[in-house]
Amino acid sequence: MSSVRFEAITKRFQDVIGVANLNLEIRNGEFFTLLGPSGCGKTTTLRMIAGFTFPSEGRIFLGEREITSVPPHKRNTGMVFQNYALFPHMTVMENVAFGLTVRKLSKPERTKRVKDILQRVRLEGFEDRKISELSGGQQQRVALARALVIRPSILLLDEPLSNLDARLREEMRSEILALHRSFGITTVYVTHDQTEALTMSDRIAVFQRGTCQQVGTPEEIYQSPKNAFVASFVGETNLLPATVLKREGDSVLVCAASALFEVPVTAVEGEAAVGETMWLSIRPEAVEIVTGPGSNTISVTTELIQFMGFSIHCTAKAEDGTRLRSLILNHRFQGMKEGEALFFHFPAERLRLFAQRGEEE
Amino acid sequence: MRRKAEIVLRHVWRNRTTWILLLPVLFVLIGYVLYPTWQTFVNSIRFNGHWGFELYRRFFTGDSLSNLEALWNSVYLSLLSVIFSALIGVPLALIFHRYDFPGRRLFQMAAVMPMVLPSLVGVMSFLFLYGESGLVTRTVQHLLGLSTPPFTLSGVPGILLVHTYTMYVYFYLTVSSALQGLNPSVEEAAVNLGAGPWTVFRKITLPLLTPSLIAASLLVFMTSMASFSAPFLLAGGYRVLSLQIYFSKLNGDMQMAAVQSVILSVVSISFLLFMRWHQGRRDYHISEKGVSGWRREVRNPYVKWMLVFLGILMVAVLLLPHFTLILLSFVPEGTWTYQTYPTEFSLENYILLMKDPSIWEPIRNSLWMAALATAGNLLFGVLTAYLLVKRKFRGKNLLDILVMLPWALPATVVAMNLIFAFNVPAFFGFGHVLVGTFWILPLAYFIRHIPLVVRPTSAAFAQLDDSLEEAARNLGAGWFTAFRRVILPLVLPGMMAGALLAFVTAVGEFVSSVLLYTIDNRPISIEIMNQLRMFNLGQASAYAVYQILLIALVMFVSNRFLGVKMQNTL
Ligand SMILES: Nc1ncnc2c1ncn2[C@@H]1O[C@H](COP(=O)(O)OP(=O)(O)OP(=O)(O)O)[C@@H](O)[C@H]1O
Ligand SMILES: [Mg+2]
Repeated sequence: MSSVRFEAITKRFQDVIGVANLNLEIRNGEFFTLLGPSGCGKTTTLRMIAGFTFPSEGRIFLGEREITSVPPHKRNTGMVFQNYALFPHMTVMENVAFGLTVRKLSKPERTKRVKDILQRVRLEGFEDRKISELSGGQQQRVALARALVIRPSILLLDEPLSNLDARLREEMRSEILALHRSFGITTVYVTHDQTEALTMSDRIAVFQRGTCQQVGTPEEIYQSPKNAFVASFVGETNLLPATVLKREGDSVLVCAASALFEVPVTAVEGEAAVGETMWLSIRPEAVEIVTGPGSNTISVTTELIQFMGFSIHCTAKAEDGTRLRSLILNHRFQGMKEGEALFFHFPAERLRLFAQRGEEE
Repeated sequence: MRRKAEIVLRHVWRNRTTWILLLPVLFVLIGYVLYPTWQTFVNSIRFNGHWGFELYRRFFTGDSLSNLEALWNSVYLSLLSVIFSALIGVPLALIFHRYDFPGRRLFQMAAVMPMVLPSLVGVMSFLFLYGESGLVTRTVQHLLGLSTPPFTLSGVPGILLVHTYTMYVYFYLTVSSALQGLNPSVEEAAVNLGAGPWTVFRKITLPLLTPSLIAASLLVFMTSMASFSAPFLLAGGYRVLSLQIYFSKLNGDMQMAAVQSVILSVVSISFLLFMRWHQGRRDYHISEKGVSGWRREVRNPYVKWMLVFLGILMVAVLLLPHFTLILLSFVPEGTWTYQTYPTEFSLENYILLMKDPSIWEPIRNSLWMAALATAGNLLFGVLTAYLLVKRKFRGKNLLDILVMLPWALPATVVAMNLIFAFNVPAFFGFGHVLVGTFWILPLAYFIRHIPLVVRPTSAAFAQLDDSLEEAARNLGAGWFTAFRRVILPLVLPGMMAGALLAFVTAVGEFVSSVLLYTIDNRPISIEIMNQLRMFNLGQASAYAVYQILLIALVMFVSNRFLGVKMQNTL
């Protein structure tokens, strides 16, 4: 068990930047997720911990030990590959025992530990199966067992669930979490699936184009995204251009979609100079539907009402044509109709004001 | 009731199509593959009008053990060929797959160049280089001021050298393609679990390469058991089985030739069966899209430039035969005798081709006979491949083996089989004696190259979704229309690639030609032998150059326009 620390890590591939100036600390025993769209540098970061990729600049520490240029087979990390990378010419038993064999453990000790771990991943009785005779979920569990049996100081998982179907994915998700809890092992988990990241992690690092955008607990990431990219990549959000009118006390007054909104200064990214064009963001479920005008309220006409069962999605158009989305839980459904005139209320504490739009990937 | 009857009827009808299609295929395979093999066997168990295995007894225990010695020599030579080919081909594949250094692509291309030399031409070029009066031999002699040649290319070392040069490519290609299919993350997983580089190679890489190593070994072993050209030109007094058959035939000892053929066939067929069994046994195909093997760039400048230097050396050795043939093709007749190097160069040999009909004739013969054989291969190949892949019937496995047989059997044996079957009027010769006529050679080419068309075409059919044909039928197309309009266009590239390969192989064919040709249909390879006997190396080289150009052209077309990968041409 160990913590990991990245110090000013940059990785360049010829002319492509894989990871840029990364400073990150993964704490002891934590379930840490690297989240981001395809090609943002998650795998590169993970492979630098495992030692398959060496950073171009910066230093990496595993605990107190600097491992920047330690070869991968001397790092004692346990990695689960996206395609599992099970050895096709070995049985389940041989696969799991491999790391113990190269560590020259005695036969009885080996057998004992393999048996033990196979039981932990609910694969007892599968010792002599060939890899090709296993289902996707079972292969996944062999890969986990193989990585865990060497008692690694850190467990690395690269999109381990992406090859499984939806049902199995959910099951494996809780299984991985259970294993994490019982072993208490520091785990770095790579995914591009926000639900996976939010439900499983102690903390999340959101990446875009090789740069770490924000690190925080799932709540922090979701409730207080640092910039527009994080807001729109993790969950959905309404994003509308807003002009800063004035700053007074602890709030900023902006004009967006021909309406006025007050945003607390704590929710503002950067300086918010008067006259600057910024981006106002609010999550659909934070939008409240009210019947009359008021502060932080905008008049809209509903365009599309989608009944989703447990919730209702409402798309509406502001007077200047800006489209806004709102999501209401079913029990508050009041029989809205399409084409109806309504008012959307944006509670001040749920608003965010960003400096940039944050390009979509 | 009516519906049920209808279903049964349709079932019968569907099977009838299968049977109608199967009929010509069976006719060809039985008439020209099975029956000739059977005739050879019959001839081998008849001695002085009696039936019995007397001749086999003589083969194994006769007063002169020359036959047994030849069998042993063949096996010995083949084993050594496997070892040497592997020693060259496997490291080469590993280096090219793992490391990146300047010129790698060029070296990779050069590595398969031995494939463009037809067997006879390859041996000939080695004679020109390393034979008693070869260019390299003379150069070394000259440089060291020796009075006798320092070495000569003959006997076991000579044959082995030629075998290694031509057959390491099998190892190189199979191992390369296996390495490409190998997912690098499997090796990374082993490293991650704490295995050092040597352990990873021994416990992961090598076991995963084993199937392809075995496949390549079998291929080299079979090819070298069947090898004729190299022993023919280089053996001296050394006996090998394929050559013994030829000598028995020359001496008129047809029955011993039959026995020798049967024994060589048994070896080849057992290897064919073993190979099929092995291929079906395990397949670690675990590669998936998007996973590409990474090549490590060589950083250390000494290692890097040493690799480049070795690469250049390799290219030189590999391409020397080709350049020698091209160079010598410009040497006019009778101008290079005692001199160390040829001194006169002209276009005479190429001009003679246009002017002298007797020079042009073998080329016309070869092209014409190869075209006939290939046309047959195309028709037969499409039909057979379709049946093998898309139709269900009993005995399919057997049909598959029968199809592979002509290529697995040594060419010498195929030719002997044809001689035994068609030197008398036979039903399958339509009542004529075919041996000694023009037709026997195109027939031999056709039979021998059946698998070359069937295999790529089958592969193309296998990739076709069955629902395509069904969709066409569903839209109202009859079977033939569906086949012609939908299926055929889709398998055309694979089919054409196979046909082109069959064509060039037929143009360069030597082994069965030497047993079956007549003066009127003598092909290029026989004419090359004639020119060699007259010491007209220039004209022989010019013929070789035409063949090489033709093969290079076909490879280029297949690779460029038909999407054929090198390793699939094996
Ligand atoms: N070996 C390499 N050579 C060159 N470029 C590379 C290499 N590996 C990664 N890259 C580049 O570095 C960037 C980050 O890649 P990385 O594999 O870390 O992305 P990722 O976040 O894991 O994406 P995905 O979700 O698609 O797996 C990409 O632009 C990629 O093209
Ligand atoms: Mg990745």
